[in-house]
Amino acid sequence: MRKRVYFKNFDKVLFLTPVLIFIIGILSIYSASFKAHEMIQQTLAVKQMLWMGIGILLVFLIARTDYFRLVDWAWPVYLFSLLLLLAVFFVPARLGAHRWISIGGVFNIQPSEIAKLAVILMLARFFSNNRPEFISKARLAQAFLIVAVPFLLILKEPDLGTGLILIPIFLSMLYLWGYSAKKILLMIGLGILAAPLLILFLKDYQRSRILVFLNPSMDPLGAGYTIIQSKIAIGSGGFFGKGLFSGTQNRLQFLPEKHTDFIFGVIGEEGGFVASCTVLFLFWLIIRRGYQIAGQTPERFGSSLACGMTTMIAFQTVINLGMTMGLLPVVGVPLPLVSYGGTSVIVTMICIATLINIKIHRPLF
Amino acid sequence: MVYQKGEIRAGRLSLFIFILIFIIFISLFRLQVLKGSYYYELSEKNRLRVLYLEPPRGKILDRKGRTIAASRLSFNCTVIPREAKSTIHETIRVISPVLKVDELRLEESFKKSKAGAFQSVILAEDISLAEAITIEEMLDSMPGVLIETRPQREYPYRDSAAHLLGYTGPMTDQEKEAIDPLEYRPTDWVGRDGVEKFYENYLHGRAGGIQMEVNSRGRFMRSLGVREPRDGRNVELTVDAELQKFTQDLLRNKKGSVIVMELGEGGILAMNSAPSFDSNLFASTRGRKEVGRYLQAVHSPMMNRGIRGQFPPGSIFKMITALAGLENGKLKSTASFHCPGFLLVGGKRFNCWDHSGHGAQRLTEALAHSCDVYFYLTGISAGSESIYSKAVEFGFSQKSGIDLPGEGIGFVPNREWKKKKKNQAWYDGDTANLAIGQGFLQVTPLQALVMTAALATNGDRLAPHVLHKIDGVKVSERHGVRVPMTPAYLEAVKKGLDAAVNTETGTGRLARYPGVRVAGKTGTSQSGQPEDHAWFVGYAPAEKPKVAMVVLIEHGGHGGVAAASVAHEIFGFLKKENYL
Repeated sequence: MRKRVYFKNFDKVLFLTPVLIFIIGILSIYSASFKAHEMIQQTLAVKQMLWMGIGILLVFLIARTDYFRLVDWAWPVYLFSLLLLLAVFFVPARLGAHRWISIGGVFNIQPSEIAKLAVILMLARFFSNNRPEFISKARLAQAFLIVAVPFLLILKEPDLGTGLILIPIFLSMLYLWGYSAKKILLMIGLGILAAPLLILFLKDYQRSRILVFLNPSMDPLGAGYTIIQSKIAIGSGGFFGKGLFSGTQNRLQFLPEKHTDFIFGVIGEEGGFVASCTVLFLFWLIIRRGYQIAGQTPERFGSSLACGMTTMIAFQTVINLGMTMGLLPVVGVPLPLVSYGGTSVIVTMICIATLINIKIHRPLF
Repeated sequence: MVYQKGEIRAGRLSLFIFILIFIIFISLFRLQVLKGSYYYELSEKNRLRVLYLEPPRGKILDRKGRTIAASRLSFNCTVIPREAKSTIHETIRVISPVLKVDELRLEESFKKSKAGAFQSVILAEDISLAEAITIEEMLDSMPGVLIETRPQREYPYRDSAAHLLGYTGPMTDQEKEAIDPLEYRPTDWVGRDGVEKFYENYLHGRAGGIQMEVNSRGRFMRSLGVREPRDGRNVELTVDAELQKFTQDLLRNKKGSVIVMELGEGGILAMNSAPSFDSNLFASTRGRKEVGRYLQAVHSPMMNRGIRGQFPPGSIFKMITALAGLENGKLKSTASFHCPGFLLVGGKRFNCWDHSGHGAQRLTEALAHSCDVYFYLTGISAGSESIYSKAVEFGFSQKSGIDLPGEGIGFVPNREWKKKKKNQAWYDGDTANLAIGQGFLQVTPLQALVMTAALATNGDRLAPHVLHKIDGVKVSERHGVRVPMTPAYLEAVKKGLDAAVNTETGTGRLARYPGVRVAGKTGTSQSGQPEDHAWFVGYAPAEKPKVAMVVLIEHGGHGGVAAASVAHEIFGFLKKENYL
């Protein structure tokens, strides 16, 4: 009986869409990091597939258990992620930032990615224990605190992109919880007014990235170069693209960070408008399904959890695409499931798995 | 009713994201569909180019400032297939009369290169300046054609210092991964052997560059950033290029090595190895095809025999045996042994090279005549261990530390080694073999030279080196290790070396040169083939030595003939050039 429910409610679209996106991602990573003399098993693409394998396994593992048990996990996971965020400062900096912790020298984990999940979990727990109608200001401040501590730690790393993602996650969960939309808009307004203040705390390169975003031709050798080349890559793909492995921007090394944050440049160049829109559409499928689950789950914890996770995927997608196309400043956010990086793949797949789980196990009235 | 409210709010969130995604969709449409061809054009002729400013690699000069390796700018006419496309046939038709190369040949070299569409293909290599200028003027009408400049290494002394100088070559894939991107570009060539390799850090310059924006014809519009190139530094060697050439000519059609050292600081005046190769072949892409021939040749012309070759030293090792005997008191320099032409050691007959026997021999005569029986007896009474430690004191079985890559270590056997590696006891026969420089003993010509120099300088084991100055600043200096020796014993040995060249029965008499008193020792060591290796080590002037040398002719026969006569010629040259 239970098994039948499991299969009936297992959301196949929510499972297959990420896999499709991932396959497109693998091809792009392979193309972006292709080296003639390298054997296939050494390529980044194969490493990435390994991560996806683990991710898919996680989906089936997580989908079987009851998501409600996660409530008990919220505190331990949250504290553990804070510990990792602190530990990262004791690890030598890589590429000028304290973002990674190496495990056995084989792979690196990115504590900020884990922190995002922990924050969502903690917030979901908080929102399920409180009701918007009766909450005191002091109690509500706790919710802000849950976000603020990891947010500041992540900014300190520095990892601007991941840090900023926490804001829409928090706001969307707050909104779904039933918090007044007016007050949320007020917060956004205040935030925008306070933004210049924030700029004072940014590192030089982060500030220059934002300034260059406002005027890309200001620094054609440095940060502006990335935006210009990425736009050329995407635009030059035209309607049908130049074909896999045939992107000149990709091949001739005009595109920096092309297998990580700027992977969409490779997709746009080699796959054209057709592939770009396909990817866009597939992401939309996931996001729409995610919010549907959030809306249809009558129980607060599951609903908040689904909302936070969907918002996370949605905003990462939007910010990443926006920055590769020159619509947003280059803040360093990976494209979920597509950009190379183990932690990001696993974290995204955990979100997918949780969404599937919530759909299976949510109480129906 | 909370349930419904949640659904509405989730729907609004969903709508909000949809709007964002729609904005992205619109701008994708704008970028890829509306402005697609504009960006396509930009990517085809990406307007950002980096023009690299290649610094010249440092020159290599000899001690008198003569150039022995230098770089000049060479021009290649190349074409980028992706840009040339259909116009290639027309381009070739225009270019072929300028280059005076047949159209078909050009078409062929274009087709033959299987390189990807983005890599430039070399149409004609190393074209003249006039040709390059003519083509440069016509570039507007020939899309995809480029004149590329590349520093070309030249070695005016051709094959006479090939081993010493080495050559340059492109980096391997592993090296490309490991380079410091600020110092090297993946297309740079690096020193591959000899001085070119050892002093790569000094010789190599650092490329500068201009990042610039170009127009659609690839012409310069404006500069976006400049980095000045840094020239490579000139390396001046202690070597005399003319001596090097003179010596190489003496070694023509022979196999072997000659090394000459001045005894003031231990600088190498010449280091020759034969057979040799022409370093110039390695400098051009065209020539590198011929290189395979060298690499596969049986007599290994690429090997610097002087520092890498290892041979049994034969009789030139007898000085070590003599000193070992004298120092531990087992041998008196006045003692005389009788040589009947052979000696029975452990029931086995050990022959003297002169089967008729030398008769009564004292140390001086035994060295002059290279009497084997005398040294069998000396060695056996001194003991193998004292010979071993004396050999090590004189620098055998270790690197001399010369500033060249790939130095060999050689090998001096001892009791312990034989027990451990061969699981055999050490016999008197082994000692007898060691005493005359045979058996398991292996030395490099450079080690033989270091020993000779140590005798000549009364006990200074000089560190041999080839570097003299960098960019005109002297960096070389005398650096030596003191070999503990009793002056009287050293004198006795040196008297023998003098007699070997300057008496009528001395084995090295062919090395004499009028006007300068030469001292030395010949060696004829068994090579395992019918023809023995011929050795000569010596120094001059005998009274106050200024130069030491080693000559090895592989399979040359008698040291007293093949090697000593080469030494004679070189002493003559050194005399004429006022080194003596």
